Amino acid sequence: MAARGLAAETRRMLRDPALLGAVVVLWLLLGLFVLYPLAELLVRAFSDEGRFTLEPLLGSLADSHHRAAFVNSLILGGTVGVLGTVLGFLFAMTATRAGLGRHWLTLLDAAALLPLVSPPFTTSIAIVFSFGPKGFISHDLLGLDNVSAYGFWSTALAETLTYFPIAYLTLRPIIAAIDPNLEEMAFSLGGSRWRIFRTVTLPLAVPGFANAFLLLFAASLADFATPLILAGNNFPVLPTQAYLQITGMFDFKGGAVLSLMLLVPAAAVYLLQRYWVGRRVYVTVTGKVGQRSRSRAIAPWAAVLLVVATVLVAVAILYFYALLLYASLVVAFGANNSFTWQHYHVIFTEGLPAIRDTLIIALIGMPLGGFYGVLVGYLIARRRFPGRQAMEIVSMINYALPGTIVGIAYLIAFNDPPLALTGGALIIVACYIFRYSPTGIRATVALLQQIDRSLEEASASLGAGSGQTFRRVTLPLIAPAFFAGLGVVFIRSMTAISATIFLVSLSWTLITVRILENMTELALGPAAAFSVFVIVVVFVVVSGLSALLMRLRTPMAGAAARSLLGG
Amino acid sequence: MAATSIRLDGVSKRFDHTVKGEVYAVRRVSLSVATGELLTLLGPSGCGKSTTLRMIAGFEEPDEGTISIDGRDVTHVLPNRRGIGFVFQNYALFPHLSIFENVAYGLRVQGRPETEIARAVGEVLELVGLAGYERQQPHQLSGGEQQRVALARAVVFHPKVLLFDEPLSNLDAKLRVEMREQIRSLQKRIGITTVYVTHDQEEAMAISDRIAVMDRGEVVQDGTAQDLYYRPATEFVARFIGRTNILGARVLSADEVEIEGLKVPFRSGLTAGQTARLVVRPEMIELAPASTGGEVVQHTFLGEKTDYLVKLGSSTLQATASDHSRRPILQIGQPVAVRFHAEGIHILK
Amino acid sequence: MKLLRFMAVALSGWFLAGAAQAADPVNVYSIWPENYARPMFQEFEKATGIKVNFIRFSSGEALARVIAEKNNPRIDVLFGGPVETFAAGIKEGIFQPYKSPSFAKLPARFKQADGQWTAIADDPLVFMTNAAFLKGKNLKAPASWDDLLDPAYKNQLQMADARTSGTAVTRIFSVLEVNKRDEEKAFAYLKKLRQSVQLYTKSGGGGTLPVGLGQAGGGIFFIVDALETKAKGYDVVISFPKEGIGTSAEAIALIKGAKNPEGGKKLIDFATSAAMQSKLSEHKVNFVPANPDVKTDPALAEVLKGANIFPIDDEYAGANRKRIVDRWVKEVLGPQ
Repeated sequence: MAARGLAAETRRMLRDPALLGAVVVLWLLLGLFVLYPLAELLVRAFSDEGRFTLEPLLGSLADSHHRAAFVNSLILGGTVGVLGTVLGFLFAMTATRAGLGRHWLTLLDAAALLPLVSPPFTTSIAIVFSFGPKGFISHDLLGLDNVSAYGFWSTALAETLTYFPIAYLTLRPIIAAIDPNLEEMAFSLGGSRWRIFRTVTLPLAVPGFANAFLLLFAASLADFATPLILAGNNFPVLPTQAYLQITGMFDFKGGAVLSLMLLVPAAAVYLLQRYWVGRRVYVTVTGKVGQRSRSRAIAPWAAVLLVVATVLVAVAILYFYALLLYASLVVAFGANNSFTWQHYHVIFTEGLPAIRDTLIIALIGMPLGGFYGVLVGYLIARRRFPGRQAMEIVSMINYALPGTIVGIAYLIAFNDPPLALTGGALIIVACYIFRYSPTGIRATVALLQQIDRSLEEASASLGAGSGQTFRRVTLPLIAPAFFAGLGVVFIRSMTAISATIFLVSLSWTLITVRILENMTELALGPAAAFSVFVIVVVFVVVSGLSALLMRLRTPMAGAAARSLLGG
Repeated sequence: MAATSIRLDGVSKRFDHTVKGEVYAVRRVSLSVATGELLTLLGPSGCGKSTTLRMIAGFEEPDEGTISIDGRDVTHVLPNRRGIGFVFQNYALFPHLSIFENVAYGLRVQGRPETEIARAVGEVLELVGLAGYERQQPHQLSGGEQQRVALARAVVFHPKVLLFDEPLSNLDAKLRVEMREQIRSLQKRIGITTVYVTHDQEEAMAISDRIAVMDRGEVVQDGTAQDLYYRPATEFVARFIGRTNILGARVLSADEVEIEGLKVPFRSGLTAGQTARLVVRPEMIELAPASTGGEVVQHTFLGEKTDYLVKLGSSTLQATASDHSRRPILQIGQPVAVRFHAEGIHILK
Repeated sequence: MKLLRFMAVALSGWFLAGAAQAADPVNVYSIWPENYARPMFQEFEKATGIKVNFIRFSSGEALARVIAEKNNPRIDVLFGGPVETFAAGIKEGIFQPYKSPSFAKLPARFKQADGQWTAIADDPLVFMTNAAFLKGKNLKAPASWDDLLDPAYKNQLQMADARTSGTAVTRIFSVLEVNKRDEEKAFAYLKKLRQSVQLYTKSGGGGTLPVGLGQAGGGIFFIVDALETKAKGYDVVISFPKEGIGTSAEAIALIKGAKNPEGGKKLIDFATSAAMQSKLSEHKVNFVPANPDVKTDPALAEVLKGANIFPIDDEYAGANRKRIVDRWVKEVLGPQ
């Protein structure tokens, strides 16, 4: 039965050259840049002298340190998931219900989105300086002695502040979409405000909670940079352990195994998100978010409380970034506080290769990633061809995997001929494209679900082949998703580190890796200056893309602008 | 005899239902449409008419059977190579293009020169009464106007075949009537072979040359409106087209039958003692005040006619009276004599 | 059209490969931090006209990279970094033996017998503490390994993580030497020391800034990093344990299969000779020169006066490194 359908689909595809070409090319790319490295990694982890063996895996599981890392990763992820979701929910409620003026709302948005467009370590550095034994806040302000800035809680705090914007972006359209008439009606029926919240608002927001939690859990699971700085030695986590295993103990096998241990929770999260929370993910793209005027369902005191709480958090975030800016402008943070432009001078001279390389790679990856995302999304959502489901899953693999795994896999797979890509830029661009385009893919799929199939059928009935239909009808309509994809690839290209730290080389280096190097060499000034530079560039480009999106006449543009930052 | 323009032979389409397993959406359908003819596929929702239409268009592929257009086998040909024009239920106008560009689309795809396109688009918009709307965007037009643009778009590039998928369902009643007239007159004027899908039997009867009634994936009867109305092949068709009474009768003799105790002269072609099911249209039942007989249960005065529900024996009949100048409206509870006009009776086989 | 095609080919070639251009520069992974390595490479370019392309990795990362790239080396020279990193690399067969002209005059501990690596500098470990911290706790600068076990130092020290840093390995082997290579005693000490450690850092010098800022009370670092901290203006104190502390040579090696072995050899010649090492002082890079022809910078010599410094036995260290580090990870680093 299924075979007959498969044969029919194959025949139909073979008769459609544009479709056939696209499918073949995509499978080639996916095979090369997604499946092959993963296979190499698995081989490396599970074979010894060509024989299959579970020994490295068992060895890792037997190692209490590694087991601890596995458990810690889960605990950290869960904590960050819960805290981040709560924080995101608070922000979302404030943004949609507390009747804030436009300027306050902008402040809130800016503070919430800053962590998302920042290079790694920004929150970590600030926390170290604020909460260490001689920390600015812990010691100077609060008079506490010998507080440790390292360990579980500071890592959790840093990750929560870094990732809660994802929860905010996920929950805001959902809460905004809850018809205030419902709440008003409940109110007019005599329910207390708390009751309304409990019985109307909360239940409707629950799917958003689940999704936000899973997204945050996955982000924390994959976070390599923050624990590197903050986790200390008492709280090992998997991505950092995998990295150290390879770069410190030169133990590829061990590193590969640790990376694969990360696969288990990552895959679980992905599956949960896809099949249980499922379509909710797409609400973030299509939900209409308008500014609601103050809803009567929120008591004035509650509104004030919400605003105060969120403003406090926003101020805290802005404080961290202010600290960063400050560090970039003084000679030696903490020792010599005299003002200097020297660090910026350094990054634009010695650091110029890194800036140039990063921008080149980002600007090349951007359109490629955008097109790839749109094409794959279109094929998956609209066309029937054999292996469609498989393609959908495979295209998501590099996105779902933590960056450390992908980086290690690429390093292993592409070092030797015939595919000796390490040392070049292509490998970095490919890494970015296949890792970060899935946001564009999902945005495209979501958008297409809103666009009726009949439009493409109409085009076909009017004589247009697949390619023409895609070009004349589909592409203009999914332009918002295309721009969202562009934006995400660009942002990530500027701020990613966990995968690409393994892929930099003599000829191609990245700003984020330079930041890490500077931090380990204690050149805090240049590290901060680089960070500020990245933030500014990303903000400018993202604002530009958002503005462009708003100008597009198609209906889904505004929401896609928001998904840009949620990827 | 006009050359056959569309032909379906034994076309079937299966799909997998999550609960029922494999189900036939369309089962061994064979149809032919002559050049210039308008054939309507009529039936309740889920009967397979849209699926059949989409297979003619090429949006779906049949699992069995063949489809040919103008003698050419198009069963497995992609939709853009079949030379068909399709009008969708939701119009499917391209939201990002102007009215002009929407209509010009098919011509652009063919690579026609600009001047030709401008002329053709202008002509066809004139034809559907939308001259001057070229610069508008689809969302600025009303439903009826959008549908006319969809129609213009579908015919401007001279397709061989025109297909309509319930194009008027989204319009209000009055507009529906107006639009179906327009569609029919346009179709006749261009002389294009058309297949039209609808669930509205009045619409079907108003515009079709022939109607194929479908039920559960099969064509139940295929003929003119009058064929279907006066000589329905099955009870289903009888009930679907117009209002009807289906009565059991006992054959008394070669030219007499008994219906609910009444002796009715009627040549059934059956022998005495056999039973039959008869179709009697409401306008073929005459009522007259009487002392006994049937009993009026309900009356509905509709202006040009009055509908009655009359209890006769164990059946409730629908009857229609359309001449009031001579007869007053019968009251509820009034006993009436029921007379069946023999020429209006049809035996179901 | 032709131009376009040419450009496409050229661009893709440049893009795909990790490109060394026709000027034949030398490709290097430097374990020395950039602000130490860069001036040296600039001096090299001034002296020979050959450009150096380099990227900095910590010792563990660098070695991991070179090993990963074994079949298709991207670099010609591995520059700087503690000797025991190079010792570990010998086993992997990644070096090409080469003896520079300076090779003969170097003492035995500054070279590998076959020429697989050659020392370019010497780098003693030191104790570095924050002056304000000492004052606050009414302490003198630590003068013994046991001083660091004082409860005042609880959670105050930062030092390197042996998994990624050669500094740590040198430190651990120092402890072993001080305990006459009695592993049980040495590890007992290290486990006790753990109480005082706030953080084991990824790179050897990672703790110097926190100590400088007062976020950590002190740590054990290579002198070059400690003096750099002081030079930046942070108020820190350098001291030495009376039992003695180790020093580790910094080495250089030619990579087997290097694409530009001639250039690499020239760089090694330069680095192992007075040509480079006399510039260390000038650029304020506080390594002790390995080449006996070069005098130590006077300020540096002053700091080292009277300190009990002993070399780490490379053969012993090389042979036992993995085992000792594994043991350290399991017994000392592991969850407490």
